[in-house]
Amino acid sequence: MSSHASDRRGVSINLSDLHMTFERKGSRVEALSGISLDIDAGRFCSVLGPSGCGKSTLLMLVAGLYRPTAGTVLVDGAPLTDCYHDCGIVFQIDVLLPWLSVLDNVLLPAQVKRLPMPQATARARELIDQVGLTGFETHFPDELSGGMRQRAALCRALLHEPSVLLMDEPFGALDALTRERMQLDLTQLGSTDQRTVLFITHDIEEAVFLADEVVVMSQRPAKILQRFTIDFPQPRAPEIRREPDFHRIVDDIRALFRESGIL
Amino acid sequence: MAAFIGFFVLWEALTVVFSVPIYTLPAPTDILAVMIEKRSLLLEHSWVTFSESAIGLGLSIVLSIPLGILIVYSSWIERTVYPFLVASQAIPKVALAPIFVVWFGFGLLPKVLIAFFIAFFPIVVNTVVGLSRTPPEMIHLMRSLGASPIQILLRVRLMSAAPYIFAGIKIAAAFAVVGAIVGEFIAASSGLGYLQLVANNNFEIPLLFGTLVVLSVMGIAFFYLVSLVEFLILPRPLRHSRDNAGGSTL
Repeated sequence: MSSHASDRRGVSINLSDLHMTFERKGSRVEALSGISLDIDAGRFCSVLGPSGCGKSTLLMLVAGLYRPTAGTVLVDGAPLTDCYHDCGIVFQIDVLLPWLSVLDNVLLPAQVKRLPMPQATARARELIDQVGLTGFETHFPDELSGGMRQRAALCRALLHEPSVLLMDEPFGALDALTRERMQLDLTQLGSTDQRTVLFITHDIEEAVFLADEVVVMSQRPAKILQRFTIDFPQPRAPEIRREPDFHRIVDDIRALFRESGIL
Repeated sequence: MAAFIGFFVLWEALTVVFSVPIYTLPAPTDILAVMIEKRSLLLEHSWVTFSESAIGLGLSIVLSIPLGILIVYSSWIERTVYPFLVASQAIPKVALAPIFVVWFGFGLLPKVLIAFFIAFFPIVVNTVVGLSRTPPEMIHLMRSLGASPIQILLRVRLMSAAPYIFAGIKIAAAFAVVGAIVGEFIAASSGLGYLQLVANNNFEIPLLFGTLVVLSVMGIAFFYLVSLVEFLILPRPLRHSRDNAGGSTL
């Protein structure tokens, strides 16, 4: 499995004029209002916006789990008609299956996709080792801390070497220290231009630290306010947080949020 | 345990101190004595009641879980069948026993059917509740991995519903015994319910109480049998769920 990972370059994602309106018992909520966004293959893109702005809806549309009210989603040049199966998802809550051990949770994609188990198990152990969960393979999720559970969820999302990684505020529920540790783990594990990453967050520093591109969204109904390109090399080193360029971008984004009345 | 022993000691003492007649309230030792004396009779009738309730319970498990699944997966069945099921619970099920006897005679069948009829509802309700409680993110995750609806049902929804289903079966197990006894009260020539009627008519009050003891033991045994199966087949994080959602009344 890991053999063909190296020749992977991810796939491109093209969103054009996406609209999404939810209707529930008479009330209409417009979540997205005309989102157009092109993410090149292998890029790490952070979508940054205030809570409740519809960022998660955007992720569900790219996963093919929701159908847009209007507009198109192209993944790898082809319009989505169903779920996009070559992707890994990490949600804000870990969504580990409580009745499976850590190893079995990480192996879930292999079970569902009926991949050859010996290779999948070897890859799972490799990932578990990389995120520092060795020794916890047979533990159940309720025996782990929040950070450890989210690490296991990250391993599960990466097991089948998906060409797209979708992350919906994955570190939002973690404490500040764990969050910074996880950001480092992710940049070492996930990016390295093997796959396209869509990372939803409301944390400005997190977005700038991790992503090649930061897309700033407005309040609901969400539109794209501005797009920033971050030129630090991947994988990111912790030192870039001290660079003047890092702070300049963070300040620019903060100013943009102030202008639009979000901050 | 100590409370139990204390209770029986107090009972024994009170019957002696106030010289309560044996036909009003026999002492625990009197009951024990008659149970030992008539053990083969009790065993014979216990077996009848046990088979009736076990078959009734088995039937309700086998039919209720698939029915619960159908209700969750088909909105048509939910709209047509589920209201009937709920309405059927408004009927005092015990009052159906004489009708079942008229329809199905005096043998094993009417008792099994009454046990089934009382036991199936908590299992259906708990299956429906358990399946509906699956976190939507789990289903999203499975769908994005390309899982089929069957895979999602077997790997995720039934597993997360399992504690609810077992809670329903535990309630149903107690109900099934009640159903069998009620059937035997109406018309029977064997079983513990029948034995109680006979003892009552003959003023054999210690035997009446002895039968009651056997019935309680049977109810407890059913409960622990279901708990044992739960312990054996469910992984540790799913066991002993205290949030039992269903519930029903007789």
